[in-house]
Amino acid sequence: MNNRLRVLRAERRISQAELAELLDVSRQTVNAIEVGKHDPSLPLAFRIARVFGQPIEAIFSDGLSEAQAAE
Amino acid sequence: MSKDRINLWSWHGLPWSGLRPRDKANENRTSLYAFLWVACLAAIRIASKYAGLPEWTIWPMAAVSLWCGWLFVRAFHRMLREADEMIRNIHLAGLAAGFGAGLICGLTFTILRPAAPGAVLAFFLPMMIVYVTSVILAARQAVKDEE
Repeated sequence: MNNRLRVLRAERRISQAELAELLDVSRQTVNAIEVGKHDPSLPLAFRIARVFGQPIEAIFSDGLSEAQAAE
Repeated sequence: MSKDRINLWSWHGLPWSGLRPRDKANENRTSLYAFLWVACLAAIRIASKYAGLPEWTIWPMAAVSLWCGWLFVRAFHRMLREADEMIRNIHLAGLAAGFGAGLICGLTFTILRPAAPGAVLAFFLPMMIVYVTSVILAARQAVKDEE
């Protein structure tokens, strides 16, 4: 699954530790999501969407929809 | 960046940072009860073998050991329930690998040597070794991913 977490975090100038605190997860989890090593649970994805004020699909994508759009 | 040294149970020696205080507390509690339980088992073993206690004393000692074991399982369950989701995944993957390793090695051992005295160890040792190794490797990988 692809995500724009790092970009959104950089835009808002939030550190991984600060985001982790806002989301009530460890900093490693934030990092693992950013590098695509961990897919967040649905509740966590909702929390991330709420923090950035965007819908989930604007932050996460499965890569399939992008491929379909390219076709 | 400060690197936290976490406890013996799962992250020992790993430069893991950013763990939530709740996770640290839960892991420390689990470690404490695990230590208590193992110490209790060892004490009972030594007492029953060398102290020359009457045979009936094994029952209250076994009850104490069971109680410590129960505290440990409860603490471990709580740790998993409240854990950060990636840490929970790491532990669950380790438990699954450990269970599989214990089952496979243990059953293979019983086929090779039926009624062998070390059959319990043949289940238990691979289970624990694979579980702990899986958790440590996954945690190390998570640390490595951010370097």
